[in-house]
Amino acid sequence: MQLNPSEISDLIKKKIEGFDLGAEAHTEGTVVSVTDGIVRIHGLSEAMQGEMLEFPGNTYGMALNLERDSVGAVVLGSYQHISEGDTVKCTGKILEVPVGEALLGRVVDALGKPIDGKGAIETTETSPIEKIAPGVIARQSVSQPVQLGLKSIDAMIPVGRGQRELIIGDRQTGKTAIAVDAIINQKGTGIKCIYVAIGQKRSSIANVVRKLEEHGAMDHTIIVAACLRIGRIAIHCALYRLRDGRILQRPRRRRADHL
Amino acid sequence: MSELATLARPYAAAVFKRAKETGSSGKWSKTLAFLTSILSEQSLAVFVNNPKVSNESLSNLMREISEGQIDSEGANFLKLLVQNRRLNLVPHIAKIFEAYKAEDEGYLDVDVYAAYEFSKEGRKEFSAKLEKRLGKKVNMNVTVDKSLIGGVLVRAGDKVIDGSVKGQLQHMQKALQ
Repeated sequence: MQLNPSEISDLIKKKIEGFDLGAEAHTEGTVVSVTDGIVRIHGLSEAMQGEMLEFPGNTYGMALNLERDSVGAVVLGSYQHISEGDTVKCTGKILEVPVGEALLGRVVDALGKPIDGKGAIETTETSPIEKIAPGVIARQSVSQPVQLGLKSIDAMIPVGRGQRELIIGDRQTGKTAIAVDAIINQKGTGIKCIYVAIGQKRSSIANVVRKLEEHGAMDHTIIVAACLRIGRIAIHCALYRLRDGRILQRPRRRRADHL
Repeated sequence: MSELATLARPYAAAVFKRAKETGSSGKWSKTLAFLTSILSEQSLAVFVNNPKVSNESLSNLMREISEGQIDSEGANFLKLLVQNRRLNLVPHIAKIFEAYKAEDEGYLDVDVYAAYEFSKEGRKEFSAKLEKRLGKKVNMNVTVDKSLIGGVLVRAGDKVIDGSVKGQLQHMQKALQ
Protein backbone atom coordinates (compact mmCIF):
# COMPACT_ATOMS: atom_id res chain seq x y z
CA MET A 1 0.00 0.00 0.00
CA GLN A 2 1.28 3.43 -0.92
CA LEU A 3 0.59 6.49 1.21
CA ASN A 4 -0.83 9.33 -0.86
CA PRO A 5 0.41 12.88 -0.29
CA SER A 6 -3.17 13.87 0.61
CA GLU A 7 -3.25 11.44 3.52
CA ILE A 8 -1.34 13.56 6.02
CA SER A 9 -3.41 13.78 9.20
CA ASP A 10 -3.36 17.58 9.36
CA LEU A 11 -4.68 17.79 5.83
CA ILE A 12 -7.39 15.26 6.64
CA LYS A 13 -8.34 17.25 9.74
CA LYS A 14 -8.61 20.44 7.73
CA LYS A 15 -10.76 18.72 5.15
CA ILE A 16 -13.08 17.36 7.82
CA GLU A 17 -13.38 20.84 9.34
CA GLY A 18 -14.30 22.37 6.03
CA PHE A 19 -16.57 19.52 5.02
CA ASP A 20 -19.97 20.71 3.88
CA LEU A 21 -22.66 18.57 5.46
CA GLY A 22 -25.59 20.03 3.53
CA ALA A 23 -28.10 17.78 1.80
CA GLU A 24 -26.95 17.02 -1.67
CA ALA A 25 -29.38 17.35 -4.58
CA HIS A 26 -28.58 15.77 -7.92
CA THR A 27 -30.13 13.97 -10.85
CA GLU A 28 -29.79 10.23 -11.14
CA GLY A 29 -30.13 7.71 -13.92
CA THR A 30 -29.67 4.00 -14.51
CA VAL A 31 -27.24 2.30 -16.86
CA VAL A 32 -29.15 0.44 -19.58
CA SER A 33 -26.30 -0.92 -21.64
CA VAL A 34 -22.52 -0.87 -21.76
CA THR A 35 -20.75 -1.43 -25.07
CA ASP A 36 -17.01 -0.82 -25.36
CA GLY A 37 -16.90 2.16 -23.07
CA ILE A 38 -20.07 3.69 -24.50
CA VAL A 39 -22.88 3.66 -21.96
CA ARG A 40 -26.59 4.28 -22.43
CA ILE A 41 -28.31 5.73 -19.40
CA HIS A 42 -32.02 5.91 -18.71
CA GLY A 43 -33.17 9.04 -16.92
CA LEU A 44 -30.79 11.95 -16.28
CA SER A 45 -33.34 14.34 -17.76
CA GLU A 46 -31.29 17.36 -16.75
CA ALA A 47 -27.90 16.29 -18.10
CA MET A 48 -25.98 18.88 -20.12
CA GLN A 49 -24.01 18.29 -23.29
CA GLY A 50 -20.46 17.44 -22.24
CA GLU A 51 -21.39 17.15 -18.57
CA MET A 52 -19.30 15.04 -16.26
CA LEU A 53 -21.23 12.02 -15.00
CA GLU A 54 -20.27 10.05 -11.94
CA PHE A 55 -20.31 6.27 -12.18
CA PRO A 56 -19.85 3.88 -9.27
CA GLY A 57 -16.26 3.09 -8.33
CA ASN A 58 -14.95 6.67 -8.68
CA THR A 59 -15.20 6.58 -12.46
CA TYR A 60 -16.29 9.53 -14.54
CA GLY A 61 -17.86 9.84 -17.94
CA MET A 62 -18.97 12.51 -20.35
CA ALA A 63 -22.57 12.91 -21.56
CA LEU A 64 -22.65 13.25 -25.33
CA ASN A 65 -25.91 11.99 -26.83
CA LEU A 66 -28.86 13.70 -25.21
CA GLU A 67 -31.99 11.87 -26.30
CA ARG A 68 -35.52 12.06 -25.04
CA ASP A 69 -35.49 9.02 -22.80
CA SER A 70 -31.83 8.24 -22.57
CA VAL A 71 -28.36 9.73 -22.51
CA GLY A 72 -25.37 8.30 -24.35
CA ALA A 73 -22.11 8.76 -22.50
CA VAL A 74 -18.50 7.74 -22.80
CA VAL A 75 -16.60 6.38 -19.83
CA LEU A 76 -13.24 7.95 -19.15
CA GLY A 77 -10.91 5.20 -18.14
CA SER A 78 -11.73 1.63 -17.34
CA TYR A 79 -15.34 0.51 -17.78
CA GLN A 80 -15.12 -3.16 -16.83
CA HIS A 81 -16.77 -2.68 -13.45
CA ILE A 82 -19.79 -0.79 -14.82
CA SER A 83 -22.82 -2.93 -15.52
CA GLU A 84 -26.50 -2.65 -16.35
CA GLY A 85 -28.55 -1.26 -13.48
CA ASP A 86 -25.80 0.86 -11.93
CA THR A 87 -26.80 4.34 -10.86
CA VAL A 88 -25.21 7.36 -12.51
CA LYS A 89 -25.17 10.83 -11.00
CA CYS A 90 -25.00 14.21 -12.67
CA THR A 91 -22.24 16.40 -11.28
CA GLY A 92 -23.43 19.67 -12.77
CA LYS A 93 -19.98 20.34 -14.18
CA ILE A 94 -18.91 20.40 -17.80
CA LEU A 95 -15.87 18.19 -18.29
CA GLU A 96 -12.88 20.41 -17.60
CA VAL A 97 -9.15 20.10 -17.34
CA PRO A 98 -6.84 22.18 -15.16
CA VAL A 99 -4.91 24.87 -17.03
CA GLY A 100 -2.30 27.44 -16.04
CA GLU A 101 1.36 27.99 -15.36
CA ALA A 102 1.42 25.24 -12.73
CA LEU A 103 1.29 22.65 -15.48
CA LEU A 104 4.72 23.67 -16.81
CA GLY A 105 7.32 21.04 -16.17
CA ARG A 106 4.74 18.35 -15.49
CA VAL A 107 3.63 15.15 -17.17
CA VAL A 108 -0.15 14.82 -17.15
CA ASP A 109 -2.65 12.41 -18.63
CA ALA A 110 -5.39 13.44 -21.02
CA LEU A 111 -7.63 14.62 -18.17
CA GLY A 112 -4.95 16.76 -16.58
CA LYS A 113 -4.11 14.37 -13.75
CA PRO A 114 -0.40 14.28 -12.95
CA ILE A 115 1.33 11.00 -13.75
CA ASP A 116 4.88 11.99 -12.89
CA GLY A 117 4.56 11.40 -9.14
CA LYS A 118 5.36 15.02 -8.25
CA GLY A 119 2.16 15.63 -6.30
CA ALA A 120 -1.02 17.50 -7.09
CA ILE A 121 -1.11 20.34 -9.60
CA GLU A 122 -1.72 23.61 -7.76
CA THR A 123 -3.98 25.45 -10.12
CA THR A 124 -7.31 27.11 -9.63
CA GLU A 125 -8.19 27.63 -13.27
CA THR A 126 -9.91 25.06 -15.43
CA SER A 127 -11.01 25.11 -19.03
CA PRO A 128 -13.76 23.03 -20.67
CA ILE A 129 -12.60 20.29 -23.00
CA GLU A 130 -15.23 20.88 -25.65
CA LYS A 131 -14.85 24.43 -26.85
CA ILE A 132 -14.46 26.10 -30.20
CA ALA A 133 -10.93 27.11 -31.09
CA PRO A 134 -10.44 30.70 -32.29
CA GLY A 135 -10.83 30.99 -36.07
CA VAL A 136 -8.31 32.25 -38.59
CA ILE A 137 -9.61 35.82 -38.46
CA ALA A 138 -9.40 36.07 -34.69
CA ARG A 139 -5.81 34.91 -34.62
CA GLN A 140 -2.83 37.20 -35.00
CA SER A 141 -1.10 36.88 -38.33
CA VAL A 142 2.19 35.03 -38.49
CA SER A 143 4.95 37.63 -38.44
CA GLN A 144 8.01 36.06 -36.89
CA PRO A 145 9.74 32.71 -37.11
CA VAL A 146 10.32 30.10 -34.45
CA GLN A 147 13.90 28.93 -34.37
CA LEU A 148 13.79 25.16 -34.25
CA GLY A 149 17.53 24.95 -33.77
CA LEU A 150 18.02 22.79 -36.84
CA LYS A 151 19.92 24.88 -39.38
CA SER A 152 18.62 23.12 -42.45
CA ILE A 153 14.96 23.52 -41.42
CA ASP A 154 15.35 27.10 -40.16
CA ALA A 155 17.06 28.11 -43.40
CA MET A 156 15.00 26.27 -45.99
CA ILE A 157 11.53 25.85 -44.51
CA PRO A 158 11.19 28.20 -41.51
CA VAL A 159 8.22 27.67 -39.25
CA GLY A 160 6.26 30.76 -38.24
CA ARG A 161 5.09 31.51 -34.73
CA GLY A 162 1.48 30.37 -34.46
CA GLN A 163 1.79 28.23 -37.53
CA ARG A 164 1.07 24.53 -37.65
CA GLU A 165 3.63 22.22 -39.06
CA LEU A 166 3.20 18.55 -39.71
CA ILE A 167 6.20 16.29 -39.21
CA ILE A 168 5.61 13.15 -41.17
CA GLY A 169 7.87 10.27 -42.05
CA ASP A 170 8.59 6.58 -41.76
CA ARG A 171 9.36 5.13 -38.38
CA GLN A 172 12.82 5.51 -36.95
CA THR A 173 13.62 8.46 -39.19
CA GLY A 174 13.82 11.03 -36.38
CA LYS A 175 10.44 12.72 -36.10
CA THR A 176 10.59 12.69 -32.32
CA ALA A 177 14.20 13.90 -32.48
CA ILE A 178 13.14 16.99 -34.47
CA ALA A 179 10.33 17.71 -32.02
CA VAL A 180 12.55 17.28 -28.96
CA ASP A 181 15.32 19.40 -30.50
CA ALA A 182 12.79 22.10 -31.22
CA ILE A 183 11.56 22.07 -27.62
CA ILE A 184 15.08 22.23 -26.24
CA ASN A 185 15.91 25.18 -28.48
CA GLN A 186 13.01 27.21 -27.00
CA LYS A 187 14.79 27.40 -23.64
CA GLY A 188 14.91 31.00 -22.45
CA THR A 189 12.83 32.41 -25.32
CA GLY A 190 9.55 32.45 -23.38
CA ILE A 191 7.86 30.05 -25.77
CA LYS A 192 5.92 27.35 -23.95
CA CYS A 193 5.92 23.91 -25.47
CA ILE A 194 3.38 21.13 -25.14
CA TYR A 195 4.37 17.63 -26.16
CA VAL A 196 1.29 15.51 -26.74
CA ALA A 197 2.04 11.81 -26.97
CA ILE A 198 -0.93 9.79 -28.13
CA GLY A 199 -1.05 6.03 -28.03
CA GLN A 200 2.64 5.70 -27.25
CA LYS A 201 4.35 3.37 -24.88
CA ARG A 202 5.10 4.72 -21.41
CA SER A 203 8.75 3.91 -21.94
CA SER A 204 9.06 6.14 -24.99
CA ILE A 205 7.37 8.98 -23.12
CA ALA A 206 9.79 8.47 -20.22
CA ASN A 207 12.67 8.68 -22.69
CA VAL A 208 11.46 12.03 -24.01
CA VAL A 209 11.01 13.36 -20.47
CA ARG A 210 14.54 12.26 -19.52
CA LYS A 211 16.03 13.88 -22.60
CA LEU A 212 14.23 17.16 -21.90
CA GLU A 213 15.26 17.12 -18.24
CA GLU A 214 18.89 16.51 -19.20
CA HIS A 215 18.87 19.72 -21.22
CA GLY A 216 16.84 21.68 -18.68
CA ALA A 217 13.97 22.08 -21.10
CA MET A 218 11.20 20.76 -18.84
CA ASP A 219 10.73 24.20 -17.23
CA HIS A 220 8.87 25.49 -20.24
CA THR A 221 7.29 22.21 -21.33
CA ILE A 222 4.10 20.34 -20.57
CA ILE A 223 3.81 16.70 -21.54
CA VAL A 224 0.35 15.31 -22.15
CA ALA A 225 0.48 11.56 -22.37
CA ALA A 226 -2.47 9.46 -23.43
CA CYS A 227 -1.06 5.97 -23.19
CA LEU A 228 -2.62 2.95 -24.78
CA ARG A 229 -3.57 1.70 -21.35
CA ILE A 230 -6.11 4.39 -20.49
CA GLY A 231 -8.45 4.01 -23.41
CA ARG A 232 -9.61 5.69 -26.53
CA ILE A 233 -11.78 8.32 -24.89
CA ALA A 234 -8.86 9.85 -23.08
CA ILE A 235 -7.02 9.91 -26.37
CA HIS A 236 -9.91 11.83 -27.87
CA CYS A 237 -9.56 14.34 -25.05
CA ALA A 238 -5.84 14.59 -25.60
CA LEU A 239 -6.47 15.48 -29.22
CA TYR A 240 -8.49 18.45 -28.00
CA ARG A 241 -5.53 19.66 -26.03
CA LEU A 242 -3.60 20.04 -29.26
CA ARG A 243 -5.78 23.01 -30.10
CA ASP A 244 -4.44 25.19 -27.33
CA GLY A 245 -0.78 24.67 -27.92
CA ARG A 246 1.84 24.50 -30.53
CA ILE A 247 1.71 21.18 -32.25
CA LEU A 248 5.14 19.73 -32.15
CA GLN A 249 4.38 16.25 -33.21
CA ARG A 250 1.35 14.66 -34.70
CA PRO A 251 0.44 11.32 -33.20
CA ARG A 252 3.10 8.96 -34.30
CA ARG A 253 1.04 5.84 -34.17
CA ARG A 254 -2.48 6.50 -35.22
CA ARG A 255 -4.44 3.36 -34.82
CA ALA A 256 -7.71 3.16 -36.67
CA ASP A 257 -9.54 1.88 -33.63
CA HIS A 258 -8.51 4.86 -31.58
CA LEU A 259 -9.55 7.70 -33.78
CA MET B 1 -35.72 -0.07 -21.62
CA SER B 2 -35.34 3.47 -22.88
CA GLU B 3 -36.36 2.38 -26.34
CA LEU B 4 -39.57 0.88 -24.97
CA ALA B 5 -40.36 4.17 -23.25
CA THR B 6 -39.91 5.98 -26.57
CA LEU B 7 -42.27 3.55 -28.30
CA ALA B 8 -44.82 3.83 -25.52
CA ARG B 9 -44.95 7.62 -25.45
CA PRO B 10 -47.28 8.19 -28.45
CA TYR B 11 -49.75 5.63 -27.08
CA ALA B 12 -49.67 7.21 -23.65
CA ALA B 13 -50.08 10.69 -25.11
CA ALA B 14 -53.05 9.55 -27.20
CA VAL B 15 -54.72 7.84 -24.25
CA PHE B 16 -54.16 10.88 -22.08
CA LYS B 17 -55.63 13.27 -24.66
CA ARG B 18 -58.67 11.05 -25.06
CA ALA B 19 -59.05 10.75 -21.29
CA LYS B 20 -58.97 14.52 -20.94
CA GLU B 21 -61.54 15.00 -23.69
CA THR B 22 -63.96 12.63 -22.03
CA GLY B 23 -62.94 13.53 -18.49
CA SER B 24 -62.31 9.92 -17.61
CA SER B 25 -58.66 9.89 -16.60
CA GLY B 26 -59.49 8.02 -13.39
CA LYS B 27 -61.15 5.25 -15.37
CA TRP B 28 -58.28 5.06 -17.86
CA SER B 29 -55.82 4.92 -15.02
CA LYS B 30 -57.70 1.92 -13.62
CA THR B 31 -57.87 0.29 -17.05
CA LEU B 32 -54.13 0.62 -17.56
CA ALA B 33 -53.39 -0.66 -14.06
CA PHE B 34 -55.63 -3.64 -14.73
CA LEU B 35 -53.92 -4.40 -18.05
CA THR B 36 -50.49 -4.07 -16.45
CA SER B 37 -51.45 -6.51 -13.74
CA ILE B 38 -52.86 -9.15 -16.09
CA LEU B 39 -49.89 -8.84 -18.46
CA SER B 40 -47.45 -9.35 -15.63
CA GLU B 41 -48.94 -12.85 -15.25
CA GLN B 42 -46.25 -15.23 -16.41
CA SER B 43 -48.51 -17.70 -18.24
CA LEU B 44 -50.16 -14.93 -20.21
CA ALA B 45 -46.83 -13.30 -21.07
CA VAL B 46 -45.71 -16.54 -22.72
CA PHE B 47 -48.85 -16.53 -24.82
CA VAL B 48 -48.57 -12.84 -25.76
CA ASN B 49 -44.95 -13.14 -26.85
CA ASN B 50 -45.51 -16.29 -28.88
CA PRO B 51 -45.29 -15.36 -32.58
CA LYS B 52 -47.36 -18.40 -33.53
CA VAL B 53 -50.43 -17.02 -31.79
CA SER B 54 -52.50 -15.11 -34.32
CA ASN B 55 -53.67 -11.57 -33.64
CA GLU B 56 -57.25 -12.73 -33.79
CA SER B 57 -57.03 -15.39 -31.12
CA LEU B 58 -54.95 -13.08 -28.93
CA SER B 59 -57.54 -10.36 -29.36
CA ASN B 60 -60.34 -12.78 -28.44
CA LEU B 61 -58.44 -13.97 -25.40
CA MET B 62 -57.75 -10.46 -24.17
CA ARG B 63 -61.40 -9.53 -24.67
CA GLU B 64 -62.56 -12.49 -22.64
CA ILE B 65 -60.13 -11.79 -19.81
CA SER B 66 -61.00 -8.14 -19.59
CA GLU B 67 -64.75 -8.61 -20.01
CA GLY B 68 -66.55 -6.37 -17.58
CA GLN B 69 -63.34 -4.74 -16.36
CA ILE B 70 -62.82 -2.23 -19.14
CA ASP B 71 -65.21 -0.13 -21.22
CA SER B 72 -65.59 -0.06 -25.00
CA GLU B 73 -62.85 2.54 -25.49
CA GLY B 74 -60.50 0.46 -23.39
CA ALA B 75 -61.37 -2.57 -25.49
CA ASN B 76 -60.62 -0.61 -28.66
CA PHE B 77 -57.27 0.44 -27.26
CA LEU B 78 -56.52 -3.17 -26.39
CA LYS B 79 -57.44 -4.27 -29.89
CA LEU B 80 -55.13 -1.66 -31.35
CA LEU B 81 -52.28 -2.82 -29.17
CA VAL B 82 -52.84 -6.43 -30.21
CA GLN B 83 -52.97 -5.41 -33.87
CA ASN B 84 -49.70 -3.50 -33.60
CA ARG B 85 -48.18 -6.27 -31.47
CA ARG B 86 -47.35 -3.80 -28.73
CA LEU B 87 -48.93 -5.48 -25.72
CA ASN B 88 -45.57 -5.60 -23.96
CA LEU B 89 -45.53 -1.79 -23.90
CA VAL B 90 -48.50 -1.60 -21.53
CA PRO B 91 -46.49 -1.16 -18.30
CA HIS B 92 -44.56 1.71 -19.88
CA ILE B 93 -47.73 3.27 -21.28
CA ALA B 94 -49.25 3.12 -17.80
CA LYS B 95 -46.17 4.74 -16.28
CA ILE B 96 -46.03 7.58 -18.79
CA PHE B 97 -49.80 8.06 -18.56
CA GLU B 98 -49.55 8.43 -14.79
CA ALA B 99 -46.74 10.94 -15.23
CA TYR B 100 -48.87 13.00 -17.65
CA LYS B 101 -51.80 12.81 -15.29
CA ALA B 102 -49.71 13.88 -12.31
CA GLU B 103 -48.30 16.81 -14.27
CA ASP B 104 -51.76 17.87 -15.38
CA GLU B 105 -53.18 17.70 -11.88
CA GLY B 106 -50.15 19.52 -10.51
CA TYR B 107 -48.81 16.99 -8.08
CA LEU B 108 -45.63 14.97 -7.97
CA ASP B 109 -45.07 11.39 -6.89
CA VAL B 110 -42.17 11.38 -4.48
CA ASP B 111 -40.46 8.36 -2.98
CA VAL B 112 -39.07 9.11 0.45
CA TYR B 113 -36.62 6.70 2.04
CA ALA B 114 -36.14 7.31 5.74
CA ALA B 115 -34.02 5.55 8.31
CA TYR B 116 -36.88 5.69 10.82
CA GLU B 117 -40.65 5.85 10.65
CA PHE B 118 -42.06 9.40 10.46
CA SER B 119 -44.32 10.67 13.20
CA LYS B 120 -47.65 12.11 12.03
CA GLU B 121 -46.67 15.75 12.55
CA GLY B 122 -43.19 15.09 11.20
CA ARG B 123 -44.66 13.68 8.04
CA LYS B 124 -46.93 16.66 7.58
CA GLU B 125 -44.12 19.12 8.18
CA PHE B 126 -41.79 17.28 5.84
CA SER B 127 -44.34 17.10 3.07
CA ALA B 128 -44.98 20.86 3.41
CA LYS B 129 -41.24 21.50 3.14
CA LEU B 130 -40.97 19.29 0.08
CA GLU B 131 -43.87 21.09 -1.54
CA LYS B 132 -42.12 24.37 -1.00
CA ARG B 133 -38.85 23.06 -2.39
CA LEU B 134 -40.29 21.31 -5.44
CA GLY B 135 -42.98 23.91 -6.11
CA LYS B 136 -45.67 21.28 -6.52
CA LYS B 137 -48.09 19.28 -4.43
CA VAL B 138 -46.42 16.05 -3.44
CA ASN B 139 -47.75 12.56 -3.07
CA MET B 140 -45.37 11.01 -0.56
CA ASN B 141 -44.60 7.34 -0.56
CA VAL B 142 -42.49 6.60 2.51
CA THR B 143 -40.26 3.54 2.79
CA VAL B 144 -38.16 2.74 5.83
CA ASP B 145 -34.59 1.85 4.88
CA LYS B 146 -32.31 1.10 7.82
CA SER B 147 -29.20 1.07 5.63
CA LEU B 148 -29.36 4.88 5.39
CA ILE B 149 -28.24 5.00 9.09
CA GLY B 150 -30.00 8.35 9.58
CA GLY B 151 -31.73 11.17 7.73
CA VAL B 152 -33.83 10.94 4.58
CA LEU B 153 -33.34 10.42 0.88
CA VAL B 154 -35.94 11.92 -1.45
CA ARG B 155 -36.43 10.68 -4.97
CA ALA B 156 -38.73 12.65 -7.29
CA GLY B 157 -38.39 11.17 -10.75
CA ASP B 158 -34.78 11.71 -11.76
CA LYS B 159 -34.12 14.19 -9.01
CA VAL B 160 -32.56 12.93 -5.82
CA ILE B 161 -32.10 14.94 -2.64
CA ASP B 162 -29.74 13.00 -0.45
CA GLY B 163 -29.81 14.08 3.18
CA SER B 164 -28.93 10.68 4.60
CA VAL B 165 -25.97 9.86 6.80
CA LYS B 166 -24.98 7.15 4.36
CA GLY B 167 -24.87 9.64 1.48
CA GLN B 168 -22.88 12.11 3.53
CA LEU B 169 -20.37 9.45 4.50
CA GLN B 170 -19.93 8.55 0.85
CA HIS B 171 -19.55 12.24 0.02
CA MET B 172 -16.95 12.59 2.75
CA GLN B 173 -15.07 9.55 1.52
CA LYS B 174 -14.77 11.16 -1.87
CA ALA B 175 -13.73 14.53 -0.46
CA LEU B 176 -10.95 12.95 1.56
CA GLN B 177 -9.42 11.12 -1.35
